[in-house]
Amino acid sequence: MTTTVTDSPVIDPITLAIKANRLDSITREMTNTMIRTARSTTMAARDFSCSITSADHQLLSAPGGIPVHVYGSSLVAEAMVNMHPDFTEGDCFLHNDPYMGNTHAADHTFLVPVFHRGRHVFTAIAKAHQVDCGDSEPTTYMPAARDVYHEGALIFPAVRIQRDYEDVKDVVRMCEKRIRAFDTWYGDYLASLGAVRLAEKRLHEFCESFDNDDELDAFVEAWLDYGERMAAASIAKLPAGTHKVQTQMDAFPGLPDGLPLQADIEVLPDEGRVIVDLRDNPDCTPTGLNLTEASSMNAAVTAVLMVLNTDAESTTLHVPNNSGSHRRIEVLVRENCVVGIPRHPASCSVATRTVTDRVAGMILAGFAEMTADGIAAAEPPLGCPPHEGVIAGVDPRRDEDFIFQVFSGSSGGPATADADGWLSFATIMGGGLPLIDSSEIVEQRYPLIVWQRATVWPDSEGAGHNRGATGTSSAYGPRYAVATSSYYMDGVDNRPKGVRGGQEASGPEAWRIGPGGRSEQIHDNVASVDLQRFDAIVSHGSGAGGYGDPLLREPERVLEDVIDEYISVGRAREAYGVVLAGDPTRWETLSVDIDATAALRTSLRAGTVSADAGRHPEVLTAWWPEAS
Amino acid sequence: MPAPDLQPPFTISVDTGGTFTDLILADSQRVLGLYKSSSTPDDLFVGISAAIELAAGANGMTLGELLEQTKVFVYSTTRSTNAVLEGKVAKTAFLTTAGFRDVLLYREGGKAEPYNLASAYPEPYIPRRYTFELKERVLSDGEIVVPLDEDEVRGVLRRLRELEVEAVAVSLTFSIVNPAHEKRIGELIAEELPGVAFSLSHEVNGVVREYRRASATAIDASIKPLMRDHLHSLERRFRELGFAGEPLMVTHVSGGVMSLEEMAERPIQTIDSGPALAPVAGIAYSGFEEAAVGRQVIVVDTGGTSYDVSLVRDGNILYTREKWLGDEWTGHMTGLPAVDTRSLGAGGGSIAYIDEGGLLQVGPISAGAQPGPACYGRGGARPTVTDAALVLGYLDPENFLGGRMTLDLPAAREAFRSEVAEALGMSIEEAAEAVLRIASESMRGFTTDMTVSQGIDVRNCVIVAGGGAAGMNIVRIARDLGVREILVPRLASGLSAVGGQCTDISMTVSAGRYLATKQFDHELAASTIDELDRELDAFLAEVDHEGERHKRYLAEARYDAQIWEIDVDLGERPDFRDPVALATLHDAFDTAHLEFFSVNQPGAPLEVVSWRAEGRVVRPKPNLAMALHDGEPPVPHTRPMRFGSTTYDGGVYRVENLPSGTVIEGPAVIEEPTTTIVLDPGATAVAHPTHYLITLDEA
Repeated sequence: MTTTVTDSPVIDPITLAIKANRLDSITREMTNTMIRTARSTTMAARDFSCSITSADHQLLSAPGGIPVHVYGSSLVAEAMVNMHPDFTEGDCFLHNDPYMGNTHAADHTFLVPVFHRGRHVFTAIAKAHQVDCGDSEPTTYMPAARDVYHEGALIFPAVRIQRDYEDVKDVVRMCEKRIRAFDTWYGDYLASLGAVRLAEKRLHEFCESFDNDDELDAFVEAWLDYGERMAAASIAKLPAGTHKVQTQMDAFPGLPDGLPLQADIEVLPDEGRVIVDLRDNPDCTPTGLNLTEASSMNAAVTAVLMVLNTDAESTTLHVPNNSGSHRRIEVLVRENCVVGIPRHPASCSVATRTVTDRVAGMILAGFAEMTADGIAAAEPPLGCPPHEGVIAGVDPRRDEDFIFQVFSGSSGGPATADADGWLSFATIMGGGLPLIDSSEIVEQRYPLIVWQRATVWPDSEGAGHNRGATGTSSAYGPRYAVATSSYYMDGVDNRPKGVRGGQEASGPEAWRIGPGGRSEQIHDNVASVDLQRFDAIVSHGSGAGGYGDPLLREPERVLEDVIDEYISVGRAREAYGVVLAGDPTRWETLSVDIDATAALRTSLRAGTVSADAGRHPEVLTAWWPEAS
Repeated sequence: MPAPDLQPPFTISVDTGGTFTDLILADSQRVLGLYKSSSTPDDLFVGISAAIELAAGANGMTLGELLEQTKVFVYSTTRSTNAVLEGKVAKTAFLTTAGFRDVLLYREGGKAEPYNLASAYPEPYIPRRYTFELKERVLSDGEIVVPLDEDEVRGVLRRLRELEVEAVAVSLTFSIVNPAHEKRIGELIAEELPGVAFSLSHEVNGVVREYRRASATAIDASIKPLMRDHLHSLERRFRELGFAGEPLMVTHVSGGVMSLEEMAERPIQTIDSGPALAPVAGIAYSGFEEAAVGRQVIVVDTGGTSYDVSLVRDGNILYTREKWLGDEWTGHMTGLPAVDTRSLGAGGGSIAYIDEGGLLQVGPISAGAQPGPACYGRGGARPTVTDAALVLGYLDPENFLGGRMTLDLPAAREAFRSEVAEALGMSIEEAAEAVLRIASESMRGFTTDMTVSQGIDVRNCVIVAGGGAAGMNIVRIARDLGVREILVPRLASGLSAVGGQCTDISMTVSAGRYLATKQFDHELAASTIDELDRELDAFLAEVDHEGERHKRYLAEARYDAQIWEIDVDLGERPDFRDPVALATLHDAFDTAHLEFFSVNQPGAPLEVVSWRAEGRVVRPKPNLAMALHDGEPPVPHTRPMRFGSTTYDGGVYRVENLPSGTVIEGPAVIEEPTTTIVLDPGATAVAHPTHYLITLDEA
């Protein structure tokens, strides 16, 4: 169905739809291969992504990818070519260099250049967060790292790990000496390699389905143009104007005053363009919090794509995530900036979380404040408390060391104009995709006990007409011998905010249940906590902000929240102005006291309601015996 | 009086679908026909008896006469699936280990679409208000670290009485390793809440992974009261009409049948059991076709709103533990070993439209049965896949569904003109062709996703295509997949009901016992197999049928620390007291891994997560041949049909005029009473009494 007009072929919309679907099919096939063959809990939790880029490094396909992972596909593919002008068929490259387009050192990216008739046509990319990347401490998150040397991760600036389809053994051996749980790493390497090699085969077949090279190139261009048109059409519906957004990160080791962050957003609906200027932010910091170029750009692009795609009626993605739609989202960054392009040796150990959550969150919330049309969302959850911690210790049953990242809980998602927040959201950078561990599988495999699996943390939501999701509580500890849980938090002091009258949520908390079953809160934002047999660490994942005035939330919905114990009776009264009659211990007796509610809402409207109004935080204590 | 050539006793198999109830009638030798009635969801009995009446009439009998001479009645129901999807189930409470209250709410995490933040979070299967935590804890090796507090349990049960709960689901951590606490709670429920239905997780689904076991248990308990009533009352009503055969056989998700009594105690097994029969029919049909010998089979079943796929490898239907009721991530999982059937929301009713970027999209919005495609003339103005087939000349407006319905061609053309053709600057026919291409492509992609995840190489496959809408584009799908042979059964539009005729009496049992080969406990493995064996023997002893008996054992295993398990066939009766069995397990796993993923690590340590056994009693299979015309091959009339950018004079064949062995070359269509089979240029069909074999040329 191709018609030739002078020299350049034109791709008709039917061929375009079919070929694009084929390409997505190949990416899904890669993803499937990774899921089925991977070895690590991080992969089990879906902390990996697959994508395909064009010969000129444009992102073409990334269905099911983690947002923060796939944006930078263009940058890593370009780095591969820049580092290796002699790249050829049979090569595979391992790339995790944060100064050259990768997200952060723990994300190992495997790239295979795909050739057709001797010409580089695509690059197949698989990126996965590793259980270990050789950091100086047994964790893949080193927020307190002073620099890349202190961080200690092995850095691979697009290093050739396969030539002629055979491993370059030097590189594998280096990993063997410096990566803890090397067997797991190697298993995940094989899974990633399987995915990119499979894609190579499928892309060959894909190329064969075109009449000639020009037609293939025309397809690539048409697909990107389509993405651009979809983005432009959606941006055209946004309100015109400029908006400055700001946020403040909590104090952190190396940053006693925390970190002020800001962005200038300019929406040009007539031109179908959005500009996000991130240049007016602090220089790189002596911490592991610095963003990489990929995660900085992504924070803005993902936030805007979320604004364009958030739609209660929609079941499919409206604006595709490809370099075509990205053309309409101009992100301005500068060198040596904490949100920008890092300057070696600044550490970017946690560049996929924390600052990036802050930046994406403030932009998203900023759009919500620009118009009453019900777009965008409140601020997302913050921090990586112990439910996402890295745990290390010894397994006496197997007589071996272990290290793995746990996913026992979650954090709540932001409210939108259409719905309450998504409960198992985890992080805005994952967009809700990450999975939660099976406690039983974890306990079989590791010497731990999950005392509490992901459970609603009542009263932690950002109140609103639509409320943010509550945070999530969970708890675990060692069954036999001491184990260490490493994690870090943000959003404790400066919590996820609501929008358009919505309230802020509870931030994350960590507690230790120690001897005697007593609980004590751990106040360090960056911590490695030793746990003895039958101790437990309790993780309260952050809630997220509310959307709209909580005093306008329908009393029946508040009643339902009380009955199902998302919120307490006190919270209903003080944060939502809803007075309930009946016996709180017998929910079937509860009802809304309509008159008292109306009166209370009137008086609350006259004053100021605190975000914490009526919160009754419960403290988990041990209900299991002490270790004997 | 029955027609003289009938050979009673009869077997009736019924599949109640969302729209139609399909019935296949067989006598002691062969199938007699497919009979369809409209389903009656409020009382399924009405639709079923209407279908029986049709079948009886077509064979010269009354309803009573047919039922009196029927020995076996195989019933595949949507009663349970509908009840769950509509939430019309018993008021059910969920009891679980302290700390696990929200296992049904969080599921296993995950979300379909990361960029859309306005998706509403799905409700748990049982609300939090009916969920109760019990202080108790069993660890992974069965050690009880916190004993059950019976006073606490009784207190909760009294509260349930106050709440007038109708069913109770109990799912505790590691009950599959040590069920003592669950069993005790079961006894206490019987004491405190006599007559209230309850399900214990270790009995419902012996799977590790707390969410899947809890979800299965919750669903099972919630439908127990209604399924007991439904199955017993259905049987009673048929007996009142004269049915005097064996107890009702009810189909389950593993593609087999069990007696009504067994099934009433395991109602979750009936969920989604209808689609599970399609591959059973697929195996049966491929047995009639030389070209299918030694090939893997893709079974597709396409209706007006859904395209269902299942797979057969080396004669075995492929299973999954990851079956979702409703959508992935937002529905509910059963975690049972179930026939892997996956459903794409696409079919004849899928609507075509142009998006803001100028791209032509087909579905997922569907015109459904109301208003239906534009050509149905019920007020639908948007073009659908069925409209495309009409515009392209594949369907005869005067002879649709054997002439039971007249199609409005001008309405279909107008829908294409106004909604697609003008905007894209193409002709109406070009637009229709485009819609069919795109619809076929999404079905192709869906099929590929599934074959990939099950490690099936499509190039070694044949397709068995059933369902009323399959014939419309199965040749296109096959060509895109690279499959060269397609079997279209003569009874294509009743595939699951045919499966009901061909299936065996079977039960699958499983034990979630974790064993790592690094420190392999031979005795524990052996005793696990013994335990499953005893369960199978107990089941087989109860089956009152003379058929041959088979057992098969499987391990769900993975390489050390791998994420997901694959099925490893352990054969008839592995003996793990003999060290050779461990070596055999390793070899079988390495081989299976290679087959699935093209790579393996021979000898690397394994973890077995679950053990499974299937007991089967073989039922006699009817001959699936249907009479064909007994004369000369017909001279077809022709009709203009468009394929690609060319319009041909395609042959139009009617099944009633076809003698066996007739070779039909595309472009052509074959009109069956319930479906139309489209043969593109390059496709050749041979008519057999059991099926059509369609072969595609190399192009």
